[in-house]
Amino acid sequence: MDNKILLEIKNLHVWYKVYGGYSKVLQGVNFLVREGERVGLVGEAGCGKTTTMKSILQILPPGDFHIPRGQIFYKGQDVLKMSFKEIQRLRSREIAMIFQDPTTALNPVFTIGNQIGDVIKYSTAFEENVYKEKIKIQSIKAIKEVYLPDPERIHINYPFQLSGGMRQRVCIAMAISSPRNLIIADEPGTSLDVTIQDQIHRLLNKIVEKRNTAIILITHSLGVAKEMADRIYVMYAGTIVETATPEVLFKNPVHPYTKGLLASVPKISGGGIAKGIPGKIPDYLNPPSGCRFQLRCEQESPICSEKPPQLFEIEKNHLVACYLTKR
Amino acid sequence: MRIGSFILRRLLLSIFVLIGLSILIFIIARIVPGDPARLALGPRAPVEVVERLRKELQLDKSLPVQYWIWLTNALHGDFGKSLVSKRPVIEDIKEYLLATLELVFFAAIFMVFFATLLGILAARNKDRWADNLIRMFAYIGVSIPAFVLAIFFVLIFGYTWPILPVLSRLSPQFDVPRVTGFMIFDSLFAGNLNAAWNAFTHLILPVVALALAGTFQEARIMRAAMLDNLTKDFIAAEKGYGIPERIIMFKYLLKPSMIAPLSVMGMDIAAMMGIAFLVELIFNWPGLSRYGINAMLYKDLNAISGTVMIIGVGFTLANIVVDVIVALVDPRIRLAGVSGE
Repeated sequence: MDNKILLEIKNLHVWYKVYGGYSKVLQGVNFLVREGERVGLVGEAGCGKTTTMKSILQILPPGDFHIPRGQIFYKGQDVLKMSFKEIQRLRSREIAMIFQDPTTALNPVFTIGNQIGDVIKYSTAFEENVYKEKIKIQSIKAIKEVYLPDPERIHINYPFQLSGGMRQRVCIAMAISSPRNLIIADEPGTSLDVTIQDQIHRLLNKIVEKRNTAIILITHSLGVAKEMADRIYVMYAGTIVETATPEVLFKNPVHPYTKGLLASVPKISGGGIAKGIPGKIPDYLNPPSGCRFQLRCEQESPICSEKPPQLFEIEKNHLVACYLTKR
Repeated sequence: MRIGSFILRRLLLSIFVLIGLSILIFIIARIVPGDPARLALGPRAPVEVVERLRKELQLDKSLPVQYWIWLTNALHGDFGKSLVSKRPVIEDIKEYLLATLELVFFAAIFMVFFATLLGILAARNKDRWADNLIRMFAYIGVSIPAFVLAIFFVLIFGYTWPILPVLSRLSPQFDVPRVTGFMIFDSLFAGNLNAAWNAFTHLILPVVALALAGTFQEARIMRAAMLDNLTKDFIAAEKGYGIPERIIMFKYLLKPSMIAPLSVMGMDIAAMMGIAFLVELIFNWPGLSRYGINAMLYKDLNAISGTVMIIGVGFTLANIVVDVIVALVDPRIRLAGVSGE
C-alpha cells in the first residue's frame, strides 16, 4: 500500500561557492518520502546528506551556495519557487529538523524553555503575553514526552547545564513541540556514546510511530537504518546510488558502493577488521565526469566516465544508479 | 538571585587588587628621588624649617609605618594635605574628579552605543562599502592616539572651522549651581536648557576624541562575533523552525555576540580614565589631569597617592560593572560553579 507522496526531490544540484570556483557537492539527488514513511539516508561523512536536507528548509549558509538545477516538491509545491512567506510556513508548520551535534544546536545564552517556547510561538497562532502560560504548558509537555526528568527544572535550565544526551532530547522535544508532518533527524546521537545513541533512536522511533509522522533519518550506520527505516537511500558523493527496503538491500545489494558499505560493517562475532572501501570521496571542485564512484570502483568500465548513470528500477521499489544493471 | 553572590565575589576580590595597588603607589611615590618637604618650601628655606615639616608629615618614620598611617587615613577619605594647593587632597580630587568622570562616562556611552550599531551594520553588510569604511576607520583609530586626534579637533573646529567649542566645560556666561558635578545634569536640574545645550556642545569633541579609536575596534570585534555566530548550528536551527528574521537577528544572534565586545569594552572604558589625562590637557578640561600632572612635577606625594588611588578605585569599579553586565548576558559565567541540580 503506497501512501501519498509528501516530499519529492528531483535531480537536485547544489554548489558551494569557494575560493577558485564552485564546489559541486550535489549532482542530481533524487529522493522520495511518503506520508508517515520512515526513510533512512546512509552515506559517508561529506557526501552531501546534510546539504540535501538543509536545502529542503532553505537553511544553507546564506550567499555561498547556488542551485543550478533541480526541484524540491513538498505536497506538490516546488520549495525552490516558494515565496518567503510560504517557506516560513513550511519551516514553522510542516517540517522540523533535528541537528547532528546537540552541543552546538542550542543557543548557549537562552534557557531551554525560552527556545522551545519560541518554536511553539511561531509555529502556531499564539500571541505573546496572552498565551504565555499556554506556551509554557505546551513546552513542558514536549520536554516530558522525550522522558527528561524534572521538566519544570529543565525548562529554566541553560543548555550548558545539561549533558549531551539530555541536550539531544531537548532538540527532539523542540522538533515535536508542535505537530509536524515530517521530521528530519540529522545523525541524532552521532556525537553521543553508543548506549545514549541507542536510547535516542528508540525514542525517535516511538515518537514517529505514535504520531504517524514521516521521518528522514540520516545516519552513516547501515545497522541503524536497517532497524529504523521502511526504506533506505544510499548516497555517495552527492548522488543517490541505490534505494530499497532494508530486507532487499541487505540480501541483494547491487551497486558496488552499497556492497562495499555492507562489507565495511564490523561484525562482533570475529572476522577481524572489516574490509572497507579503498580511496576517498572525489574532489568536489573538479569531480570526475560520469559516475562519481568510478575511481574507487572495482568493476569500472569506459562508459562510467562518459555521463552519470541514472536511477533505474530493477525491481519494485529497488532503484540503482549503475551501468552494471543495464549490461 | 545568583547575580547577587556573583557581585559580592567580585567585590571581595577587588579588595585585594586595591590593597596591592595602594602598596605599589606608596612605594613608587616614596622612592622617587627628591625631598618632598624641601620641594614644598623651596631651596632657600632654612634647614630647621624643612626638618619641622618633615616631622609634621611623618616623613622621618620608617616606610612600613608611613604606609600604615597613610592607609588608615586613606580609608577615612583623608589623603593628607596637598603641598601645592595647601588644601586637603580629597577636596581637590572631589573638585576635579567629577569633570573627568563626566568625560569618561559620556565617552563610554558613546562607545557602547556606536560600537554595537556599527558592528551590526558591518556584519550585515559584510565586505560591502559600509563594512570596508568601518574597517578603514578601525585601522586609522588604532594608529592615531587619542591626544593626536584631540589636537586635530582643536585645529579644525577651533581654528579652521569654528563650529564647536574646544575649551573648558561651559561658556563663562552661564553659571550653574553644582549638584551632581556633571555639567549637563546640573544644568538640567537648574532648569537651564541653554546651559545644558552649551555643556553638551563642549562635551562633543573631547568625548569623540577619547572614544573614537575604541569604538571602531569594538565594532570590528562585534562584527567578527556576529559573523562567527551566524554560521553556528543554532542559528540555522532557529531559522529552520521558521522563527522570524528580526527575532533571530536581535535576540538569538545579538545576545551571544555581545559577550566578546563587552569584555573588551570594559578594559577600554577603564583605560579611558588614564587616556583622559591627555585629552583634558588639550581641551583645557578642568579634570584630574592637570592636578595630577602638577602633583607629579612638584612631587606632591599626598596628591599623587590620592589621585592614583582614586583612579585605581574607578578602574576597578568600572571593571566590576562590566563583569556584572557580561555575567548578566552570559549565563555560563553567571552560573559558573552552580550545577544544574
